[in-house]
Order: sequence, then C-alpha cells, then structure tokens
Amino acid sequence: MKVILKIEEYLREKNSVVFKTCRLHSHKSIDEFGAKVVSCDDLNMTDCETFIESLVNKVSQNRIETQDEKQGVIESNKPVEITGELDFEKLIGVVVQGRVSKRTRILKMRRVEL
Amino acid sequence: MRYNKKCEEFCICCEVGEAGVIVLEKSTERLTLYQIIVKGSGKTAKTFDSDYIVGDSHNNNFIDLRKYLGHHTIYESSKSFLIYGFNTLDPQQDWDGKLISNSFDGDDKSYLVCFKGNPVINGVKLKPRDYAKLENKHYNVTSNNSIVGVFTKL
Repeated sequence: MKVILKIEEYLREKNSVVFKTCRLHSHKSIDEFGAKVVSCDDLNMTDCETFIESLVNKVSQNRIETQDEKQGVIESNKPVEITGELDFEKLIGVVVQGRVSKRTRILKMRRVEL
Repeated sequence: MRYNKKCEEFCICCEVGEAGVIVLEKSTERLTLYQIIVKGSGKTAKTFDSDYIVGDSHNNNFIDLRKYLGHHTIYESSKSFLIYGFNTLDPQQDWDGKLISNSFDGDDKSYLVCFKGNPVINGVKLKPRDYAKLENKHYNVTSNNSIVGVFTKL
C-alpha cells in the first residue's frame, strides 16, 4: 500500500505533530481527510526518512483502514462468499473478496462425511 | 509460515517453523480457543506477562487458550514445530474442545477435525486436515495414534 501524509503543525511543547494521511491513489484530496495529533516520543527522529517511515508505520495503516471503512463499498463491488471445490461456473461474473498477504496462506482442509 | 482456512462455523490456523521463531498476534486477530501441537514445543503467553503455557507434542499437545482471547499474544518455539489452532469466528461464541482416541457419541453441534495420522472413524480413513460435521449418532473410532479433536458449540 502506498500512502502519503502531510504534517500540518509541529507542537513543540508536546513533541507532537498534527498530520493528515491517505492512500497515494485516493481520489479525494489529502486536505479533505481529518487531521490527527500523534506524539513523536516513540518515533524515530534521526532524519526525515526515518521519521516519515516510523510515522507511517505507527499511524497510517490504521487511519487508512478507517477511511476505507467509512467510505463504504459501492453496490457492484460488494463481494459474495464462495467456498468449496473449485467450480468456475460458480465463479464467473461473481465478485469475491481476497486478502493480500505474503505471510498467510490458505490451509488445505477437506470436509468428509462420517 | 502461517496458514488458515475458514471451515463453515470455525477457522483452523496452522503455524510451521523452526526453533526460536517468535509469533506475535494482535488482540483483534486473537480468536484461537485451542492449540494443537503436532510437532515440537513452545511457549504461549500474553505479551508482557510472566505467566505462560508450555506446549509440547509429547506431553501437553492440546491446550485451552481461551483465557488469551482478545489479548495480544506471543508464541516462542523451542524446537521446530507444527501447531494448529481452532478458532472461533465470533469472540462471543464459545466452543468446548477435546481430543478423542476412543469411540464416542456425537451431536449435531460438534465438528471433528483430524490433525495428525490416519484414524478410521465409522469406516472412513481420515487424513490430516480432514474435518466433518457430526450428527446425533455413535462414532466408532480406531485411533491409529492419530490426533483428532472434537469441538462443540456451547
């Protein structure tokens, strides 16, 4: 996921920043998203790159997930759940949901009748 | 490497790795009720908690982890391992779980999952990762040193 952020203010007395974040490919301007204050106490302030990376890792993902949830899903994108044996007839023309994950794979389970 | 699969009313996860692997799980993803250790050993605990549970494929291979539901957890393997987790889909839905090695009476609120070996149940030879929804009837079990769990919705 590519994200962008915009720091609007540095609150020196609180060592915090006011910032906005969203997806790089968002069709809404970053300025239209709400701002959030986050403490820099546990961020890496060695240089610009490390600070931005640590800020993104600390807050952007959750913020963007929340933004996505609030945005809702358009009717034609709503997925249905299809399980069981692979049958292309069941899949063709149907919107299904997948999860992008490099770490988790699908466990092969088999249902049997006893 | 982590694997998982939703099976109708529950989810089975699986973790495979070497000794010294650390697996962290966020509270929002922590839905494991029971851990089944097929190979190896390791410790499971809430993060920052000195109290932990040692699981071992020889001595303690079926662990009730319901007390960790909804908490951040950490697992550290001490040997190369293969573990499964039985997970609820809804944190409010509790399940009873146990391993079986003898014949038993089933009910329609239960599922049977084979984790290891080739047990023969009602004449059907199972393989690891086979599962079945049970019915209100008797099940004849020949264990053949398998690991088979029965999980019942409460």
